[in-house]
Amino acid sequence: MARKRGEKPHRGGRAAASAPDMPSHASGEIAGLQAWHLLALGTMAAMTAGVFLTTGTPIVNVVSVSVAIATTALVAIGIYRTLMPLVMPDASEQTEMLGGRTRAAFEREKMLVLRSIKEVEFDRAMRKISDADYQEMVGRLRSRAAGLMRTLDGGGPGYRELIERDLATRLGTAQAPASAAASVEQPRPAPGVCPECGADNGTDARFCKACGTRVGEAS
Amino acid sequence: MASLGSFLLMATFVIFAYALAASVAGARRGSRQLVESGVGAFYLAAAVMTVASAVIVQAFVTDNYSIKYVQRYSDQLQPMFYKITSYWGGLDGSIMFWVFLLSAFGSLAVYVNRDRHRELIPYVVAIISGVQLFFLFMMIVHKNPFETFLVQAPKDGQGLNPLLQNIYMVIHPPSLYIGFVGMTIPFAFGMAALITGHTDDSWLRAVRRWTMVSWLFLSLGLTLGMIWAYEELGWGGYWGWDPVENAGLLPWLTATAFLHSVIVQERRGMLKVWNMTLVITTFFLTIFGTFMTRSGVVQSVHAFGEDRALAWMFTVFMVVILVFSFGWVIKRLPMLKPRYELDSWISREAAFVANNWILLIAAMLVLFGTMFPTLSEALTGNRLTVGPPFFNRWMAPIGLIILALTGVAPLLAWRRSTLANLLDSFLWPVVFALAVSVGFVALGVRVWSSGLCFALCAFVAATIVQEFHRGGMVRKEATGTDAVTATIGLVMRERRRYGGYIVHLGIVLMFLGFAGEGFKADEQFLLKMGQEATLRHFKVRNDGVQVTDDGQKQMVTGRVAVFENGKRLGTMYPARWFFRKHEQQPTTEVAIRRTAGEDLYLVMPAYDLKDQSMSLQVVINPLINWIWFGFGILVLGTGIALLPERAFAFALGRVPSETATP
Repeated sequence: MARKRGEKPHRGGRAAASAPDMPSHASGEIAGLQAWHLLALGTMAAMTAGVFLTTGTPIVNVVSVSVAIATTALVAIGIYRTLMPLVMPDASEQTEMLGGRTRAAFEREKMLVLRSIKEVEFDRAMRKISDADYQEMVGRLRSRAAGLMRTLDGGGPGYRELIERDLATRLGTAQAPASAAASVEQPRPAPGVCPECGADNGTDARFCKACGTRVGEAS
Repeated sequence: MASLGSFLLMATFVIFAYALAASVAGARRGSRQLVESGVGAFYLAAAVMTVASAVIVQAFVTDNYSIKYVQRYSDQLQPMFYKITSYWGGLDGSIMFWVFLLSAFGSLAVYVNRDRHRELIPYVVAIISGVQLFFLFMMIVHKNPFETFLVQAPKDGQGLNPLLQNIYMVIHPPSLYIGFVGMTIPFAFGMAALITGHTDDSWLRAVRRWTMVSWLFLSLGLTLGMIWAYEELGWGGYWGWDPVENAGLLPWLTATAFLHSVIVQERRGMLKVWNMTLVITTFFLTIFGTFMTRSGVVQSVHAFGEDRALAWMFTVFMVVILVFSFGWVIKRLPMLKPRYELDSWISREAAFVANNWILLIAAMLVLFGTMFPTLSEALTGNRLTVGPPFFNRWMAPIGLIILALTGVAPLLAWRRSTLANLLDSFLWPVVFALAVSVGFVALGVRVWSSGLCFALCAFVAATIVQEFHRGGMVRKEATGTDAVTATIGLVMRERRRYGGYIVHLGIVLMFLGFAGEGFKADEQFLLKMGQEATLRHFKVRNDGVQVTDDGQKQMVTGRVAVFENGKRLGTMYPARWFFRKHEQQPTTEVAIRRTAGEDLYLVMPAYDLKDQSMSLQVVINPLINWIWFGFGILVLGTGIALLPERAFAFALGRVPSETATP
């Protein structure tokens, strides 16, 4: 999903959300500038003015005034960040705090898994792993990478369900997530994929590493 | 200003309390508003602590002696640089400095991980806030750095201890504090992983860089302390197993174990309980070390003094840490089950387990030796001292085992090593080590412990060279580049692994320096004017004593002519400095002549200005500079391991996708 200039990266796993999800950012934007840009500019201007006003006095005074202005600005930012979430309306009626990894987090995890595959291949070339162990390790890592790619492509069961549930809520429909899911033919979970949270644990896993659910029967 | 400072501390306490409550409540209710507000409060607390720090520094700079802390650690003659660094010169200020650093680091860690590890952030904020609440409570009720004189303030201060007016002593405490404080971050993420149940590798990835940076600063702090002891205390050595030294070493040992152990969890899904235990133990030892140096339970030349109330506060806090942390470990044990069991004792996994055990045993031994005097006094009424001979006797073999593991572990295969693996990997390093051993034995070097140390250094160095060579050849064949580019590309692609090998090389060089201690020469002479003395191949001659003054201190300097094998090398100037207001605590200014092979170290403990005679201590320290050089290599290796993704991109050439090379 392309971002508009000045728009902050969207947080959470609700990829279908657009502008209403981030009211705090919308209220702080002026033609591409954000609130903190203005605060930083104002702080620098105040510090410059302070330096001019204290010209001719000992250097300690100049530094003290500058530090006082800078720290006041930091405190102002802190107060803003503390109070603003409390006064803004909640972004979603169903705010779930876990499992909401961003696309960037999945991309990074995919990169790390692919790098791990390369490391295992290197260890094999350096004769640090036997062929049998190499096959097992690489197989597990490739399965995990494949699961991540499916999730990123929107094919993972957990991710799709999350998007559809969130969309239904925003459109104000009474459609329950279960019925929404029922209208879409749910693929049988792949071997090693947790039926509960959708995490990919590898073909040989018996328990999910994220939520502890037994995955042996699913595979 | 003092009132403002006190108010800021109390405000920070309230803000952290809110941050803790809001984050936990938000996480439990699933309220993103509360969590965001809690995180915002966390940032606000960091900002307020910055203001408080600026207030105390301003008080030092403007000589505000109405504040007791400023009056105690500064005076009008003190150079501006040391006035500013007096912030952390005393106990009260050092605690505030701790809170300031932790608030800054915590804010950075939370900000960087706010999206990637959203589920952990509320509890990370809560844990760090909890730690901050303890230190702030201690400051507000007991050790307020903004406490003022009730009556007329003195016109001048007492001044910073002259021993601390030294560049190493300026860098050493902040470096150690950064290391200590930084270990709170991995602890917070580890606890958040336990509380949320997300016990997979994700929390390890969040804290890996933090742990490495904290470990690096701990290493820097310890090494700077060694350099300071060597150059300022004037006893000819660099490590005396002082309780305060040990307080810094303890978390370093367990953090080293943690940094290695996480590799096994990432690769094989094993040692999860070990990693949780190590991160908790490391954090606990940072608090325990702070407790030791501030409560008076141990006696040390550079402890802060005795304070029973402080000791009780720390004791309660440490009990809470242990119960809370290990309580969660026990509760989450089912989720910490390893993916695999140990298949063979001749495997890399087994080597890492051995590494964990040996480092933990080393830490427990040092802890036992450090606390033994206190324990013996508590139990028997007699304070029995434990000195360097005890520590050297037990830590020497442990150190050699650690050195051996440094070479063995990288050569072993994952899961199990076959005889063919072992022969292929160990042949040349072992042959090289044996050749070096034979050479040293032929030169008359004792096998225990110096000879064995040299042999192990040779072994480990050979394994490192072998790893670089073989890896470079694999990459060279795959990429078609030259050997140099291939090796650079290999290091840059596998920064963590090869940066680690460079760190190991630094450790080897440091052990080489430690081994030189076995060949040390130390003698004291009483020399009249013009008189000579000889120690091994060096001859020294007393050419007189002179007195000078620079306003801040009086300097009594000896002039000593130095000869090596009859050839004049030059003149060295050992001295004694007497600072104004601290005349009873003169500092010893050592004269050192450094070469790669040895140091010639001169100290003038006594003198007579009338007849220009001097008492001169002459020490020869072989190989000592390899310790400092080895540390530099260690820093280089850590820096490489911490490099960002696109460093040295020119050497990261494209390789076919099926090629087995990083």
